[in-house]
Amino acid sequence: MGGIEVFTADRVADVITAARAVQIPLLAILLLGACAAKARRAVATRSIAAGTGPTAMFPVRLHKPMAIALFTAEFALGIGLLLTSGRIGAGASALVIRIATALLFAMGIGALHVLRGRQPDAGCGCFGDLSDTPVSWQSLTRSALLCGAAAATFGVPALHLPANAIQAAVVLSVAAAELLLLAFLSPEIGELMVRLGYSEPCEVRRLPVSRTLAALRASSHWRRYRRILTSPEDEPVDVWREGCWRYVVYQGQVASRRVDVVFAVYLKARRAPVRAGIFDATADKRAREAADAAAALERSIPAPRQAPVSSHPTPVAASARAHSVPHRGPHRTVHHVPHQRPGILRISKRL
Amino acid sequence: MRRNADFRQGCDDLVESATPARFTRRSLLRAAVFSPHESTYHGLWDPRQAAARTAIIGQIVDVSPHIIVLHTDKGERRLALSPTTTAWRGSPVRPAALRKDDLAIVRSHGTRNEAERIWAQIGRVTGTIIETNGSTLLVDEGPAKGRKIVLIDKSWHSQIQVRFPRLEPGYLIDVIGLRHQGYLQATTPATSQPPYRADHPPAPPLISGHIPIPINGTAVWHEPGEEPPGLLGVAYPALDPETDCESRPAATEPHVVDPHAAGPGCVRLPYLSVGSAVRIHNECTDRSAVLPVTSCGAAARLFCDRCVECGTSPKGRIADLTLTAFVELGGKLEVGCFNATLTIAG
Repeated sequence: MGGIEVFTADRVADVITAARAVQIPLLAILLLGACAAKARRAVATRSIAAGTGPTAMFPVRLHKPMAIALFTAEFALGIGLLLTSGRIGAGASALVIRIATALLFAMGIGALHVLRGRQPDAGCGCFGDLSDTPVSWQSLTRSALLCGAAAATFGVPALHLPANAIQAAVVLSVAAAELLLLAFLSPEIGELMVRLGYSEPCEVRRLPVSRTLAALRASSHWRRYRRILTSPEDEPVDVWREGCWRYVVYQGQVASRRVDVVFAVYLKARRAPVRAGIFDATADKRAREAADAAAALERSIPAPRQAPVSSHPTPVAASARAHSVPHRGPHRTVHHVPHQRPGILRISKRL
Repeated sequence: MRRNADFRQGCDDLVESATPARFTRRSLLRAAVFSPHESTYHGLWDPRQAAARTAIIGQIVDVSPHIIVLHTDKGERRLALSPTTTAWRGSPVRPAALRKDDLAIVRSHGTRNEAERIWAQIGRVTGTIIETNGSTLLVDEGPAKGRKIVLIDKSWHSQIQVRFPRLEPGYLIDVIGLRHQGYLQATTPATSQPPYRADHPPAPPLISGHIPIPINGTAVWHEPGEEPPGLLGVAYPALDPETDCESRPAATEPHVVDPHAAGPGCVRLPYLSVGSAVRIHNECTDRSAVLPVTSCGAAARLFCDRCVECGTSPKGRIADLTLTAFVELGGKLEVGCFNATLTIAG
């Protein structure tokens, strides 16, 4: 029985040593990863001091030196942990590096606690622009966990490959469990996942006018209305955008009356829904009454410095009214013609 | 056959365009496709409606303890002064202390012909510092507005430097003060200086799905410049980049920042065009108005700041209002901002 107890105690000691040893590469990877993220942010913003969390607590003139000091310390400790993990750097130098790492994380706990009190909306800046989420208990717990992990490496002998399958399984299990715990405590993971799977909302998606016009010309609405357009091959008389829709206006003629044919094209790369309508300014009482208001507006504006590339004779100068901007999603109505409204013609089916 | 691959309509700017009516009729044209809703938008475009407004802008012809006479673009306006009337001319002053020939903007009581608040010679410079010479700063306000000179007197220097610790090239500034011929004498910081350099504002948060409407943030004001003084409108920070407004030549001089190239700013706004209508709600005074987008306000994207006029607003400027629109909505010009909500009008 005594032999079994000694054997079990040895096993437990081996497992604990393996668990302690795995902290060294984990800490080194985290420190170097944090450096890389900070460097990426510094390059993007051309400022080493941009958004580095706790440095915001210091006076402005110290932001840059403190940011450089933090970056240097993390980088030096990350490299130091790796270099002293084997037989070459074992001993006193390894112990100094590991103690310094534990101290860094301990200071981190204090700094984040103070930052949370002074600037509740500031992120910790630990992983560059991924760490813009305000400091929470999770960030503090993560620092405490890493501080404990660094302390656990004190006195760990030089790293070596696992002696057997059980030890390898223990190392992998400990590393996996710790990474899961760190992921749970890291708001950066959520931010990273959002960025990886991000698709821009259509309201802010940039799409060239040429793509919109190509989508329009390929649509059934274009084929349907083309015959009433005065110059379908020319440039449209106006193009503008509101949210997810781009509006394209052509001049047309219906029963010898000049009209505006308005197409609304949903800003989508493929199979963009299209809607269309016809505006007859001469039939719109409201537009006629407001024409002089628009003319007055024109008069009140100083002469233009630069003439626009494209101008066209405006059939009627009409004051504007606000209308709904359907930006929530494409209306898949195949053919939409507004009705029972002055100024907007009903289009017969033969069109 | 002419194809439209390189279609351009010219810069979408009401002032720069030779045919501003092109913008005013866009809502009518849109109504041909989508159902219209009633709104006050029509009236706001109409310059004749200005008489019904509470904001009056003009040059002071005469001022006495009981009356102020303004020369406006529609003739002379006489407004009574009461003991509750307040005035600003670099700092709060008595209305009688205002000077003849000062350019003044007055908020009157809606029903009475009485001045409630008067601002005289007020100006604002918002942009990137590109040169400093002692207490004088040269500020670039973006491709549309050009450059302005700001003078910071010793008496105001410490007050401004508390909020703007980095008065050096490459950093942003936003100050309010007295407008003189050719320069602005800064007296009040309009915000706190963003900690980043002007050419690298922070990236906006990523949004999945559609942009949530309404959008909360800060509404600020700008000097009329070449706009008609009484124009009610918004310089919108996110005009469709396919217009020339977003494709002007990039700045090549040191410290000059092209706001169009500096990213979308810290609040995501749906792309709109000149002629679109937005509803701005002043959360501090509970006043709302439907306003037309009249110009490009891309410079507002550089500022990732908050307004603390009534509570703390979310980060980011969502509207750069004309002087008159800001006053109409109950804003205090000397404060520089109000907490605002923006919705697409309709």
